[in-house]
Amino acid sequence: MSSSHHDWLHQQLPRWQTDGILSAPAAERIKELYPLEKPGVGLGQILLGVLGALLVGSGVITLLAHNWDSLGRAVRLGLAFAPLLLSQLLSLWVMRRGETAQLWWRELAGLLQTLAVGACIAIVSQVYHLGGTWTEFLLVWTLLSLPLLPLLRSHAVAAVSSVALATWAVGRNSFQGVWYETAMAYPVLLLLLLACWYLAHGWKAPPVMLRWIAVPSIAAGLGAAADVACSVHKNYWQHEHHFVLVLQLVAVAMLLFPLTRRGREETTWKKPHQILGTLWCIGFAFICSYAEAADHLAKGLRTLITEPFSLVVGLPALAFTWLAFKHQRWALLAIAASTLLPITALGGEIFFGLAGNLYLLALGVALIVLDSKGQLSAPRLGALLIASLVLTRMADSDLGLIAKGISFIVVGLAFIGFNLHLGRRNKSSQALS
Amino acid sequence: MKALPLVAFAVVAVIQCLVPLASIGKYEQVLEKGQLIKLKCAAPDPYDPLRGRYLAVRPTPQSVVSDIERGQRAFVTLKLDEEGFASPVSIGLERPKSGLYAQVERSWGDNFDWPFDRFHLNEKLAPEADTWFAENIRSAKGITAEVRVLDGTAVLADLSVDGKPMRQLLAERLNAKP
Repeated sequence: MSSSHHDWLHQQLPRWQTDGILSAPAAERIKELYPLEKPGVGLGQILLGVLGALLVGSGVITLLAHNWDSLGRAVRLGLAFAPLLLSQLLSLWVMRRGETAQLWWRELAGLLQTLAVGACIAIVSQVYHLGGTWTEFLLVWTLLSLPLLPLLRSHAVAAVSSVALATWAVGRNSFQGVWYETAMAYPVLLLLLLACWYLAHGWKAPPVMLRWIAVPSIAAGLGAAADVACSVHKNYWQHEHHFVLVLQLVAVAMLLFPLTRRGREETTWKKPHQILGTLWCIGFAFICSYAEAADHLAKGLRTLITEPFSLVVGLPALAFTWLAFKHQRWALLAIAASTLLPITALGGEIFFGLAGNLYLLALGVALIVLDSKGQLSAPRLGALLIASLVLTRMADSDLGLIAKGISFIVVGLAFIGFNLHLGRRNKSSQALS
Repeated sequence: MKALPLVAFAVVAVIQCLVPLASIGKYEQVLEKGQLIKLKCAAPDPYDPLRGRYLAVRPTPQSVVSDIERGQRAFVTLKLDEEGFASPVSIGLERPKSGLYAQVERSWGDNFDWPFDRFHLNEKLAPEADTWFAENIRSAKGITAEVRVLDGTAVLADLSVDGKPMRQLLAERLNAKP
């Protein structure tokens, strides 16, 4: 149920009480179950504040990049600290205002201070001609700015930090050295980021825009970490397919990430982790529908079991699977079940390809059946899966062009028909409500 | 307003200042008390969006045979000739107990990377450095990096050409133009 449904429900409750449909305690209970969101804080105002902070911060960095070498070292270093101290004073002022401080002031202060920290360490390294890599600079910058997330409860700092940490991991994925200097440290940094978010907002879900920034960032960071972990294995092909299997575990963890009941009822586009997890899992299932991939995945599976990094992503995936069972998230569990397909590769190519095809067909049917039984599901995705499977197999087959053409037309018509049926059903259910 | 968040903010603010201040203290000490060494180098002119224009500093004597793996930090022991130019003698993972040495990072083959790779310039001087370098790339004049070294920490102090500071040389060329 979306927030607009909650608004409607709250508007109806007084009338239902007056009409004697509901008692006062029952109305209160409904209000608790379907709470109203706090009044909006003006997205435009926040965006303008963030944009202003970005422009001011970028301007300061550009001014410092001019390199005022006629001024002398002490003055230049003093100039490096001036924006930092001013931004710290602004943040202090915002914090002292407590709850009365408008949200956009928090975002502005957090972002300005973050940029000022970056400018300060950049000018120090400019004055002393320090070398070092951009990834080292980025990590120091992010770690110094990250505490502003719980202190100012700034979404902008959360967004910048999640992107910066993922960028660090991607930039560090080919680095050779001890594990904490490579992308393998990303899961630890991610836990730090999540701890900071928890200190700031508790279990409250981030706003949708932040989700769409954070989720792809986290996926990229974990992907980079998996790449480094798997590159330990010298055999290129073994590495590649082992890597694909680790990414599948990451996708399952994202897909089945536990949500509150309200979170589960939100529309799909508000849950980027589910969208990305679903896309990966289905792509993986399609790979498994080709018998040729069986040998490589079977080898990768043997390496996966001995790889410690598999536990880092495998244990959360397993825990989330258990929670998904508990909350009866059957549609998502059906999608995540593609993880089991590589096991059939141990039985040989024939089992593997067959299992992949049967799984995709069963998944498509299950998504349609679950929806018809009133469960949360994605029937159009189910139909799309069946259609794609039939078309792919027809394209691969040795059938003549006439047979292929006719089958394409039949599948296309069936798909259009099913889409029309769903459209009519949704329309009639809306009219009834 | 509760006191704890304010105290936490104060701690964070102090750390944000202390990290760059600690670097400043360390490098100032090296510049003040460190031994001067010279390194011959090549210097083309790229750009860093955060820190502005700089000359890429690539000292020439960079290789010394050892089996230390790529990416590992190591200590290179240096010897100076009569003109003060440094060359590497040996490289090891353990910090030498005495003598002239600098911390470096092992790169490809027998090469190693110094902890500095750039000399930042004012954006007005940087294009002049481009021109100067194009004109002098084949001449006998070489760019010398003047580096201060103290307890293994090396800081690039200046770049010079025939004993003249690079900045001064470029400023003179710029002023001489109509």
